Amino acid sequence: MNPKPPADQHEKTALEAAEYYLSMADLSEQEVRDSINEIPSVSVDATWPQVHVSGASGQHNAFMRMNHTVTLHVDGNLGDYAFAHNTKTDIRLSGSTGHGVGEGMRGGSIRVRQNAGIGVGTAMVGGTLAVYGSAGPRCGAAMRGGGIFVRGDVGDETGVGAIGGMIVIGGDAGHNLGDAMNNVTVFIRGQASSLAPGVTEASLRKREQLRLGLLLINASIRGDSSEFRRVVPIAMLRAEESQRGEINPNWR
Amino acid sequence: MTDKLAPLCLLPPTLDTSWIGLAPHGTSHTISRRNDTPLELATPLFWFDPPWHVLPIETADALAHAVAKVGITVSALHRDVSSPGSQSHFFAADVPVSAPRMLPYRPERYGLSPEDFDDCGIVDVRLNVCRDETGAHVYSQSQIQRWEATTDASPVAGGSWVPATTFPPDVVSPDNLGPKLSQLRTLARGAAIFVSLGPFRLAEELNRFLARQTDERQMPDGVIVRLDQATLSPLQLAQHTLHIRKLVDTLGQEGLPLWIAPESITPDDAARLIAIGASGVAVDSWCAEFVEELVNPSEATAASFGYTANGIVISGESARSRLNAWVSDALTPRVARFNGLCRSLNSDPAHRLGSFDREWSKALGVKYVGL
Repeated sequence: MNPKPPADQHEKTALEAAEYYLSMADLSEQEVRDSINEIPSVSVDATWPQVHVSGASGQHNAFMRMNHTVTLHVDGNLGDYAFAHNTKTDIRLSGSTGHGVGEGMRGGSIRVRQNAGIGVGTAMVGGTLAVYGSAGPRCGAAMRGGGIFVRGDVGDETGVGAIGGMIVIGGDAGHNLGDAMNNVTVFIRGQASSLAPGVTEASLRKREQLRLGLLLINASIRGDSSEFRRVVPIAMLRAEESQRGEINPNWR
Repeated sequence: MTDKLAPLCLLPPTLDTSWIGLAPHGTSHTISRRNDTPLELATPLFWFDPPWHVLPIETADALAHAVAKVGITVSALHRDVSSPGSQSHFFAADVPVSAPRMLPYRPERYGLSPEDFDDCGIVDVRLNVCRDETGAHVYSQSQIQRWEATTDASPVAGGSWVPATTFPPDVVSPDNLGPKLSQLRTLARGAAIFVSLGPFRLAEELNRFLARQTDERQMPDGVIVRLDQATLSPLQLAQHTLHIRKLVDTLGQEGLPLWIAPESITPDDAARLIAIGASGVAVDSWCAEFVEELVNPSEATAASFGYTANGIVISGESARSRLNAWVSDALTPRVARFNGLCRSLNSDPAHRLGSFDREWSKALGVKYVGL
């Protein structure tokens, strides 16, 4: 499979990123992936090639295990498990996704311009996953690291089984937000229908405001970190208070 | 260990059978994958749920490798038997292809890495909630620490256990498992996709997962039933195996591999389960003997492998060779016995079994061979 017909590749100067145009309407998802993998790798610090993919129309299992230093712009909607196990790639989707977007991702970034289904970022380990619309239930379930940002609302059981990482909710949350048994940090700007047993809301400490502010900027989400509250296990909060603000790692 | 299913006899051929030799296919076991090439196993024995975290990581790796060399399919994640950045012998290329690696795909996916999908032969989608050593539906601190190693200063979950779940959180409901199976086919190209279930609500659950889908890729290639989660009498074990086989068949899945994970089992009983209708049998009880000996070594074992503050650490070619020999000496005769008995099975399943016990004969619908 040739990467692209030369006519579709815009030649750029050395200082500009090369741009590639591919269509899922003309090529299978595997062919699109093969084409992307043929693009020469660049260093992390260099300007990454820009790959524009059109023709996304709800395909399932698209662009899983991406491990290439490109910025991928996908125009349209994708189905379930899009971008699962992403390792390096910087991904922007103009539409919505089905369930399990970014499942198990380990690095890179994913930005979904519209909505996502259930299980956003399930079991993710690292990287940044941003949803600019709303997300369904079990967002961030079993996550182990990285950050999830949802500008809108999230569904029930957000953060269930998560043992690390951060979830930032710009809107409201459904029932059972948080998990008393985990280490995940949840920040919320709106209201939760209910909190999971054993967790409580607390105000942000100064250093968390600073950290969250930086993360919001990185995720291109407008907002003042002081508008957010954090949702933490009660046991962890007590441990913090007894340690004068320093978290005791063995808080349970 | 005695044969629990001894009342069941593997019937020899009738007198008018002209000549009996080895079956041309031996005991090879073929798993037909949906719309894809079949997977061949040398023997349908597997180590379903090894407690890797109780062993030092090097020892776990060496033991997994040694058992796989005997031809037994072994279930493990990279993080079960190797730490980040280190090389695993079990996952190296020289493990015999006749013993494919099994990837345990738990609902929570703790410890799972993308590399686990590479070169695995079977993906086991676990749809039954786990129990730790205490019996709780949790993962122990030591188990989580093996999968998600962190520094002592910031242990996972505050240094305590982590609750387990029953179902993948990125699947809408048990009736919508198909897209997940399809995803796993894409991630683990070349692997067979199995689902493993507990024994308690099988009629309902099998109906959900084996109901015909328009897309074959959304159907499992096989089912594993954890009969080890219940305490069954020998007759109940045989009956359950028979009934599950019939249930799978009545759902239109005749020939779908049905793997049974029993409690302790002998080679003869494993062959009897095959005769009843199982397609594969877990031999966790055989392999548990090695784990027990490595965790609580006798003087001879400690002298052979060397004992450290972390227990027996199998590292280096010499120690691995000794472990391979030890495992092979213990397992090869059992595997050979199982394979031999399976080769002797009547080609007609209806004439494989008989019993001198009227109760067993009636309960299982096998020929009464007493006078």
